[in-house]
Amino acid sequence: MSALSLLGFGSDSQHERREGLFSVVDSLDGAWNILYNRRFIVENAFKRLEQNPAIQAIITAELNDTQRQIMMGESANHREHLSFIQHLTAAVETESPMAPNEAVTTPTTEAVEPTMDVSQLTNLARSLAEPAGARAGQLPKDFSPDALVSSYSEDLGNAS
Amino acid sequence: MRLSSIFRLVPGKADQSREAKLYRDLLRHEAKIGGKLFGPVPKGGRREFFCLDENTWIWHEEWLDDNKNRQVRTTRYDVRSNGVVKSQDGRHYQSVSNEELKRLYKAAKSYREQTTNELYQAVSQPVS
Repeated sequence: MSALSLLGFGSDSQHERREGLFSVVDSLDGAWNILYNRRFIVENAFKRLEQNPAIQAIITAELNDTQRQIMMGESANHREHLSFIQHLTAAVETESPMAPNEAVTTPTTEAVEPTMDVSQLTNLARSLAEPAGARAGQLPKDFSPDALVSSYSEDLGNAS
Repeated sequence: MRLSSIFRLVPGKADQSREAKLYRDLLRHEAKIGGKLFGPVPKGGRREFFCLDENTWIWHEEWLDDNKNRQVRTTRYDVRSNGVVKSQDGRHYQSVSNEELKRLYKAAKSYREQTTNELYQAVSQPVS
């Protein structure tokens, strides 16, 4: 026996005999209003339950709990992030030969004073050219250490 | 054609009877929908959950005990202004634990969604 029968809503057999609810609905005048009213009752019943102080207390407690969990999660993420940054900074300080503020250079348009004289430059050019000299067949014919030095000296002269 | 001529707004006695019957059938249909919200019903059992009126929710359960005897329990939840109380099998009212309240709220929420989807989706406004 169904709960509705127990509550005095008629026998189950009447209901069970029907082929389908909507065949009944379609055949009745005013069915639309009944459907609407019933929906209204269900909506209101749910709202009353939801807005009940006892339920509200539970919802608030659950929300607070969720919020707390999120905050704990965020805090854990933040700690993890800080730890990662600290690890990264430590790695940079250990592995980089430069201090952090030396790593950034400011571009300048001022002329650069030569710090080597021509003979020093010639020696440097020769030493640089030596490995290339081993592959002399691949170099341009006019290439020579002296030509490189004179070109470099001209640049310095123009700059000053 | 006017809507009022399609849906008669002042029904006669026969119409009232048919409308009352339709209302009961709707409730029965809702109760079946509600009974499915809690998962499968054990063999030989029966379960219904429905909104009786704006302040009352009913949970009806039938099952076979270990000795194959049929057991029936009807729980009525009354939503009052200061809380929710329940009465089982017509006995005195008692308070409802927080855990049970939480389950009732979730069940009512699912019930509203399911009945709206299955029965009331098309009904958005009253016919005037």
